[in-house]
Amino acid sequence: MQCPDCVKLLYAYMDDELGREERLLVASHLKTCEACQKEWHEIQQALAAYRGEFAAISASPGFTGRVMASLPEESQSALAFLPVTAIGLLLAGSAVIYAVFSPLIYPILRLLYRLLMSLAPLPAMILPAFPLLLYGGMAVLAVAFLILTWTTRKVVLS
Amino acid sequence: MGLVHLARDGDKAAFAKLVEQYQNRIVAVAYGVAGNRQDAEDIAQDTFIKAYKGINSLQEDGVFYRWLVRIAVNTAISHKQSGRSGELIPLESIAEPVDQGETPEAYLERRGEEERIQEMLAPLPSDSRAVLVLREIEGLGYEEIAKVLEIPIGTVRSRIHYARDRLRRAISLKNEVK
Ligand SMILES: [Zn+2]
Repeated sequence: MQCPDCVKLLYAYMDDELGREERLLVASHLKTCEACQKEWHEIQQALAAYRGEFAAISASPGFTGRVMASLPEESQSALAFLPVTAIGLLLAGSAVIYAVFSPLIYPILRLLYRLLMSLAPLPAMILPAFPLLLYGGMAVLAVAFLILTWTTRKVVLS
Repeated sequence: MGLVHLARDGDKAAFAKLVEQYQNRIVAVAYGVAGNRQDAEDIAQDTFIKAYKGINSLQEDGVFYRWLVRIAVNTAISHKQSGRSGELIPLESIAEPVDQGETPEAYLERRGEEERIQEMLAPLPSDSRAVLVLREIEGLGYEEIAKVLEIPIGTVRSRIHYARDRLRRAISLKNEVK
């Protein structure tokens, strides 16, 4: 290895950022070359001077207190409540939609129930014994029906 | 549970502990880029405030420190660019209060140290100062520096090279003058 090659690699060598092969080449050259050794010491001295200046740097007393005093108020808790707020808004929105559209949904539900009665009389007779299941199923059917109508309308219009 | 996790859940006391834990390192990083104490403290304070506001965006607790340093370096660089830096004002003209409990001797020593750092860093652009402080003071490897600054590792290598060359020239020039 020649001196210019060695000097070029010195920084990476001292940072231990060289591959094995280059590292060994630099190490063996450094052992025998006085000029490169001098370069090496100069670098070390300069960096030691730099580090030395920073050794005593620390935050001034009361730093943490000043930071804590200047934090924005309660931005964290507002964010923490975000999911709760979102669910609340969703429920309120659904209630409003239901109130507005129930005159529309109720006839559809009745229509669907009659349809079910004529198609499958037995389940239709048993179902009223389980109101939650009945109304839940009816609601799902009604919403599906509304969506279907809506998309059909869009397709027809487009 | 870790402090970062608690702080993310809005625990202010946990966040205060994080400030306590990292304040010196963040001030040093800021100092390395800004070159003077007053700016370094302002930058460090800004850094922690930004961290507090943004801690919810942090994906993993383990990367908190790297993330904090990135905020500090970016804040310091934009602080310098915005011209809020007091660097161009001669030190003598800054009426700086003596820290509580600081003796006049310690005060003078601190001022001397500040002047030496300013001289040393004067020829270095901000991005070189940033890699230098991360490498020499924080002891980060090239890959880690690349992650913190979000730059390619080749750029890290060349910036470290450039920064050390300039630093050595500044230091040897100063020694010749003496
Ligand atoms: Zn040599």
